[in-house]
Amino acid sequence: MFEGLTLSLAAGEALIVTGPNGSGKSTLLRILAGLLEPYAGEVKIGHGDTDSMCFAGHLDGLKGALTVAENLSFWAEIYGADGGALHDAISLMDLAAVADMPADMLSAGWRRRAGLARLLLSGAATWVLDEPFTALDKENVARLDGVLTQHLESGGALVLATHQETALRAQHRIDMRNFAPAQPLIQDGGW
Amino acid sequence: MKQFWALIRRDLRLSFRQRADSLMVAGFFAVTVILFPFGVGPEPGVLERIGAGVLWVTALLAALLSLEHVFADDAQDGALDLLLSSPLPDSVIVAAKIVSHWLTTGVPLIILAPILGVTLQMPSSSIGPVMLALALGTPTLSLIGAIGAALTLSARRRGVLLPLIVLPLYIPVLIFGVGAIDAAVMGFDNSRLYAVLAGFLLISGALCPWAAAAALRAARL
Repeated sequence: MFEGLTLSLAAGEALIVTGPNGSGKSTLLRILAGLLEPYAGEVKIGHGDTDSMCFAGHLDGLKGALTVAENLSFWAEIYGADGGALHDAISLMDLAAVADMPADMLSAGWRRRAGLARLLLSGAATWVLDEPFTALDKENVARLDGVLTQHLESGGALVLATHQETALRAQHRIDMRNFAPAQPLIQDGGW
Repeated sequence: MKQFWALIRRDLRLSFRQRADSLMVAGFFAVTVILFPFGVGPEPGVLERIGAGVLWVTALLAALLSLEHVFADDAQDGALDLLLSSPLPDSVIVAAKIVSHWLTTGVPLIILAPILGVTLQMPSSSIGPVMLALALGTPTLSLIGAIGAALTLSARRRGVLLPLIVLPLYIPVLIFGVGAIDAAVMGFDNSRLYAVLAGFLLISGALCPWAAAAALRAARL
């Protein structure tokens, strides 16, 4: 997919990954999240442990049969967050109105917000987000920008793959087109 | 450990909300067992002789029905990726999924089996041994099955592939499970057969969560 890519991120810094479809943005993020093994190279997060990282991909991981509050309190238990953090996450993502609704009944934008509220529960220093703005309206894009900025200000780090322009101030940007392999993966002809 | 129970609680709550899965497994078990008296005929002795085997083979197939969903549901909605990238060790995630699979599909079978034993003309003295043998054997089925479920997670035809991988591994449990019930019905001492079943449970309990976690990683990578 890509090669020769080196990046490093300090606390409080954000990295925005851009590039056309199929250029390897999601692959890079999944490698950072430890869900894929790179063919060559390595990833180091924190002091060598990946525990301080939280990943949010295209899928929200919400259970449709459970309410938003139940979904989030499950993740709070997984991450060892307390009730206060749960309450904060619900109010920060403005989910109070749908907290007692089954996730199945929510629209895509609400689901996305409920899914992203999980980040606030994780207590992780590094957030790895794959297209977090998808399905969000203008107001909620701004809300998410605010949450992300706050995370950076409190010393967190952020890796963000997106197509959309964001108001977020990012110290680093990479364009996946610059790391495309010299040899294309699939060659035409030659049966 | 708290996370382990949180995951089990979530799965139990989910299966309570979506009862179809558990009911389907129990229903399949009941209907299939009840077919045997019709197919074999009511002659005394015949059903009694095959009763233990019928209960066990049907229990294996019923457990198999639900195995596909052990990881597939979480993989489909993204929860599996999020769990795997969480601080939770993979083997703890897998162990919790196995326990909830057993609680939602194994336990109903154990409760139903003595009732179905009546339709197979099994003597009332067999109720205890049937339940004990199933209680020792069905967790092993969930444990071994989880490896198959993890291995076939990204396979296209996993509905067909999964039984081919898992059923041969179920044979030892089947042999000793049927043996334990038969011995009890015939009035022999079957404590050693229980011990063998318990041994299978301990060995697979110690190994399967790790094996399934490794298979899961391999399937997701």
